Amino acid sequence: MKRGFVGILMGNRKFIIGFIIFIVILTGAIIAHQTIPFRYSRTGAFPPGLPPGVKNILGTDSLGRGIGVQLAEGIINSVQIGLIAALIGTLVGALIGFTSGYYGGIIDAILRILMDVFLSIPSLLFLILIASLMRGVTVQGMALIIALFAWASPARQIRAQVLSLKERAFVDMAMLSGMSKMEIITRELVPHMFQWMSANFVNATLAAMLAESGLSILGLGPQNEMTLGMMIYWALSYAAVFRGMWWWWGSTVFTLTSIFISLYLLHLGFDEVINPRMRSKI
Amino acid sequence: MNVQKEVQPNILSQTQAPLLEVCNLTKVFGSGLLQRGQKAALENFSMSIQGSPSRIISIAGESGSGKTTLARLILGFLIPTQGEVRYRGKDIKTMDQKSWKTFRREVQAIFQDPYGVYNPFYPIDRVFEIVIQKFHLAKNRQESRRITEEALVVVGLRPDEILGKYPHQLSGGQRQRIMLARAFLLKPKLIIADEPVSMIDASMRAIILKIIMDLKDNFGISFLYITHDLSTAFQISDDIIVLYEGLVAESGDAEIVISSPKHPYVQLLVESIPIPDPDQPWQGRVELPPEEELEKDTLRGCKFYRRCPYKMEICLKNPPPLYNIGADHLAACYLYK
Amino acid sequence: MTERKPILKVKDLKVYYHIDRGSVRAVDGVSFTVHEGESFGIVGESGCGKSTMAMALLGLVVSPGTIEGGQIFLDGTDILSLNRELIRKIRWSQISFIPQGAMNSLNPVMRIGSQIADVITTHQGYQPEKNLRKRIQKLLSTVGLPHRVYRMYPHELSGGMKQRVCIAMAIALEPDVIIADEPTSALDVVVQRVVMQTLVDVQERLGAALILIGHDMGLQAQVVNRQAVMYAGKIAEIGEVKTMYKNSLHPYTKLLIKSLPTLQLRHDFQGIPGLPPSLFNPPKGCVFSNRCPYVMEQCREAIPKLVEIQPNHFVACHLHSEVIR
Repeated sequence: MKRGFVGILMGNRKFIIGFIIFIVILTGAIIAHQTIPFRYSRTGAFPPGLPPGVKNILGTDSLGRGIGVQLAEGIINSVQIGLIAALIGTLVGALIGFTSGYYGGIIDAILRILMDVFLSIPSLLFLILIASLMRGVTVQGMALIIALFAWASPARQIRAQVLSLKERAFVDMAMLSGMSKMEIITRELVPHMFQWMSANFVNATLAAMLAESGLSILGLGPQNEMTLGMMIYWALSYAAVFRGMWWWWGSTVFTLTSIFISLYLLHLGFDEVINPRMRSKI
Repeated sequence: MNVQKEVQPNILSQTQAPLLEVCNLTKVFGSGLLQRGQKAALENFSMSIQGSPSRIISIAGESGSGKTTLARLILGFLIPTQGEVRYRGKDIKTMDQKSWKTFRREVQAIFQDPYGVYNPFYPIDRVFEIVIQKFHLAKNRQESRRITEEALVVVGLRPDEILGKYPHQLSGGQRQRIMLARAFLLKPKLIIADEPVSMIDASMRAIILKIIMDLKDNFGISFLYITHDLSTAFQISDDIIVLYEGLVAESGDAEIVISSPKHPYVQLLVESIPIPDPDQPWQGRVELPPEEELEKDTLRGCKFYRRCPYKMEICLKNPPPLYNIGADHLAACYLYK
Repeated sequence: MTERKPILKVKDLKVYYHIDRGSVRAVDGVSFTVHEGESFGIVGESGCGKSTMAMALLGLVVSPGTIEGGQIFLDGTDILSLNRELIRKIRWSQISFIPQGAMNSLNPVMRIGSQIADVITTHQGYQPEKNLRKRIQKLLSTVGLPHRVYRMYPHELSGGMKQRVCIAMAIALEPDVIIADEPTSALDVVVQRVVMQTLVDVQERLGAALILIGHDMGLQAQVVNRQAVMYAGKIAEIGEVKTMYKNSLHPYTKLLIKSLPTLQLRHDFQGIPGLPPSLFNPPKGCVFSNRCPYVMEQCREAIPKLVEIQPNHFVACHLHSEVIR
């Protein structure tokens, strides 16, 4: 059944296009990061404020650093933050959602309060608060902070699905066969949620990257590492827009937009594949 | 004194705890805040299943009778509000892990929906693999395959047509038979069958019911056959207990109870069964006063009072106890006081 | 038997579903006639095509289903040749429907009265409120429900009462034909009896024809005058109800009756081994040939035609078409 799902996804046009764009950008960034010498990103490596030319494909910033090499690093770090935050959010959310939904009782009551609290807190405000309280975040640190608010919604939704799934006859059958509660969750219920969780992972990545850009643009991002959001921050700090250094802010905005579009296409592809199938299954 | 001493060994062997005993079982759903006017799904129900010789006992009733609640209580899926379910003398609420394992092995179940009982993501082989693994029924793969195939043959299926397939690739009748094969693998003493054929086509029903009777006659497996269909209950059961609104209306030998019911509700039920013979139409008319259908509060006396053609004053005071009206034939009606 | 005028005549109806795997021949060449005021039963097991046929009779076949062929004459007019607008007009006013699980299709947030009013105004345009209310309350009495149900919500009613509301909706415009698809499948035995009583009363009052579709042979025997047995998209046999239960000719009908558990004799029922054929690729010959105990060589080669063996008794079986020749 799982193989069938992946097969169908691969046949969906939106999914494939989104997937290709994303992979191309990421691979390009990795290759660039490996090949372009590190010194290009040092302050003063080149004359500052150079528009795109033969030596620097994307020009340089006000500190004389190559835009291209920064972009490569930025993509890798931003995507890293997105993926890690999404992974933690989805996995922790699943763990809490399944446990809360299946075990019920007092465990459910406690976890539900936790979920509700995190869902009703305005996440961006708190992210800003936390990030500003921490002196100096790393890329991994940002991922963890963002993950803090990424688990509650999937937990809620998974819990809701589990509440209805656990009434189904095949769960009774599993109990009669001597399976333990954990075994039932992992072997019987998780497969039902796998497709949803994959789709959720993609959405969470998008949301996390968005959160990171937002925080970084406000100056709350990692100071010592480059992310796409930080590039915009630096560009704004140096009045790149005002000075017409379109290659600096433009390349970043274009890259960010492309990544968001690719992730959104992936989301649409998932939606198209999952929903009609879910309808026929239920 | 002497006589007693001589008799004692016999009594001892006869007092071995029955396979399954249900004692004064009551289940009320809801938070228990409103004690008054809250309906019990099952009230003060008692029953004893010896296990051998194997018998088919029907629990018959309509929706709201409590029959499904009873099944779920017996299987340990629900906790009773009052009363106990005892497996070989032990209360299942407080059994230790080892006893649970043997309980699960000796008391199995098949359910109504032949599709819902399967996890659609796995091939049907998995239902066998799980029990073989959990109950250590085989030492290796070959043995596992062999006993699985044997079980499939017992229920009339061809292993090569069934193994490796997904649930949606098989028919309802095949899926239900696979579940019987799975239960059979465990060589249980009792199978709780909750409406096993109500979602199966007529032409396949007979085949499955025949398998159930075969399992009872040739493999010593007793069945608790839960149904709303008195015709099938008449055909295959030895004993029958008819439930109405959580209480026993009548119980006894299945043939006797259904061919000449004594409780007014059971009489009405049997009369209303549509007989597949145009020469035997429904006699007269049945009127369900709509006021009665809309009435939500519970009566203090007999629950069938409103519809009963023989209602008397005494019926309003308290629900009638079960009166003995023949050999092992009981009816809860003041008519038989 | 007085000759009654035919009100519905189905000729060689074919409804196929076209999906990627292929085409499912859900209804494959079905013909029958229903007369004015008669109760006609269509009985068959799951997958035989009876519900698809109900949809076709109401002009409700939607993609991926298509009407591949045939005609449906409602009071002389072939409704398959009508455009959607005209079909919409005759639907409910000439031919109405009580679907399976109808009681679950009631709108939970609307009062019963409004829902019935909706049915009437949708097909007959605006009605003054007072007349409408009187009319609806009269309908409610016809189905044995008290007037106060008018102001009630579906969740306040029992299953049997909700089903009777659906019957009231189906007769609101006094149609000539009422199609009931398993109208009592979710109901208890006693309630089922009451609801069927109501349906038959209502039908007799209106003089409408009733087409009762289902799988419960017992229920059909109690209610219908004539019956058709469907199997794998085709009609196996049509006849008067007594003939069908006592002197049926088609092997499937006979085996089906033999498989019914009765309250007469214990251990006296027999299933039909085997499975119905795939509707993607129906067999060359008779659809029942793989399970028929009387199968002959020609059964696997040629599809038997539905032939009138005796007056008003039609059978599609090679065993019996020989007689005609």
